[in-house]
Amino acid sequence: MANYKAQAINLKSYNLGESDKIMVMYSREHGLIRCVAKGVKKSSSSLGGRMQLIVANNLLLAKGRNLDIVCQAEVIESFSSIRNDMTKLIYSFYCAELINNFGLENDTNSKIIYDLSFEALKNISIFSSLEEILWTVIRFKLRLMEAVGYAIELNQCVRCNDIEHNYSSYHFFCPESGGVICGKCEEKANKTLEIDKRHISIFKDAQIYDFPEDNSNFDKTLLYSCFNILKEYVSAKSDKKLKTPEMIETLCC
Amino acid sequence: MQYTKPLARLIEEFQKLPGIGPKSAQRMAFQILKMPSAEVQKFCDAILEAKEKIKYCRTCFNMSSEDPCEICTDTRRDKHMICVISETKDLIALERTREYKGKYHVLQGLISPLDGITPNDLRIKELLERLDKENPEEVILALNPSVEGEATSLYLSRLIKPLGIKVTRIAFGLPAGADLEYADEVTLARALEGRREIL
Ligand SMILES: [Zn+2]
Ligand SMILES: [Zn+2]
Repeated sequence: MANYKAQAINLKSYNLGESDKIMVMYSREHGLIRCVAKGVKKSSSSLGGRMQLIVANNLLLAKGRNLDIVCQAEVIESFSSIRNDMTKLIYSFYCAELINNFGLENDTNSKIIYDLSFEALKNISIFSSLEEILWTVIRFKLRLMEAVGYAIELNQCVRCNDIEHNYSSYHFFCPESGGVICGKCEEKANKTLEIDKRHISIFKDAQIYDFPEDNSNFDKTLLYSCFNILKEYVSAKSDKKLKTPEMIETLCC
Repeated sequence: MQYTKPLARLIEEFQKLPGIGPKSAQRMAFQILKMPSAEVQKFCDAILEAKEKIKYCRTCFNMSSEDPCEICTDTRRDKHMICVISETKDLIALERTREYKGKYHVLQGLISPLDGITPNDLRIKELLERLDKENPEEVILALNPSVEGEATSLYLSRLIKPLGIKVTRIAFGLPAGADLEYADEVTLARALEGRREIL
């Protein structure tokens, strides 16, 4: 049976029998993978710690009849400071849920998605302020959506392609259509969210920068509202109902 | 080949148990059919009796045939300490150590955002009411060393500390008898983090 290697982040796990787990991971080489980690629930297992959620490993996998099997794992990054902070944990869970929902098996963009997921988790673990964490998650969502073919439209009305205006004159965002929307189209749209040029400029910056050099006018409320706008958008594009946003509302506000 | 209906139904029922796939379910079903009727009756009675008599203690949410349970009513146990665990089977594991003499509180799960399990799905509200009433000196968090266990511990300590109650957590680290060189990086890092001074 063929063995193969992968770099992958653990996203989700299910118990299987007495001591095994089914792992859902996102790999750089093959996109979303599901595999079996044997014996990981026993305290003597050397895989146990490595198969915790939100850990990135170098893996050696064996092709199985149904699911592939983890033969070896070596930690690349355990994002350890995420584990000591409730807010960091919840936002990381949120990212993991998005990767799990939008990632595909044998994703053609797997390299890009893996790298931006890794970067997001790394930054959540490094950054300490809520503003920085929100920024990271906003940046992650924008880039993930772009990588899976749902880039948001910020420059022209997403419905009528009206480009008469400068982007600063858009006042609404339509989660369903995924972009800014002009006043005329807004009246016909199902659900829209109010935005202004500050939101748009945060979105534009977040697409480019890890973290903006000038964060003097950084405002938690504004960032949180940017986060929420994207949350609505991402939820509208997801075919499954997302479970973590509710948790963010109960635990992080 | 198709199984005759009652057999197919029995196999289907066995498959509802955790860790039982079609193959094992089939083996179990055939075993039942080989057993004398009286044995099968005893088996069924045991299942029904357990289901009927075992309830949750309304104080600590331990599984028990009594309410309050044997541990909650035991006056020799130290009521100044409450150990918080996720399931009754963890309580049994801790009892086997014979080291702990305090009381317990079973959360009946862990916070797990990806599975949609929120604090409201756990016995956290009841724990807080209990802390208010019993006013213990220490709450020991003995939850799994997983991210779900971690999230639950962080959440609980955020709620309990402001009440002026000492919150401790069991140490995470290497299993006794293990070899350091085989330990994984995550476990070893946690063990380092939880190091303590030798007295
Ligand atoms: Zn328009
Ligand atoms: Zn009890």
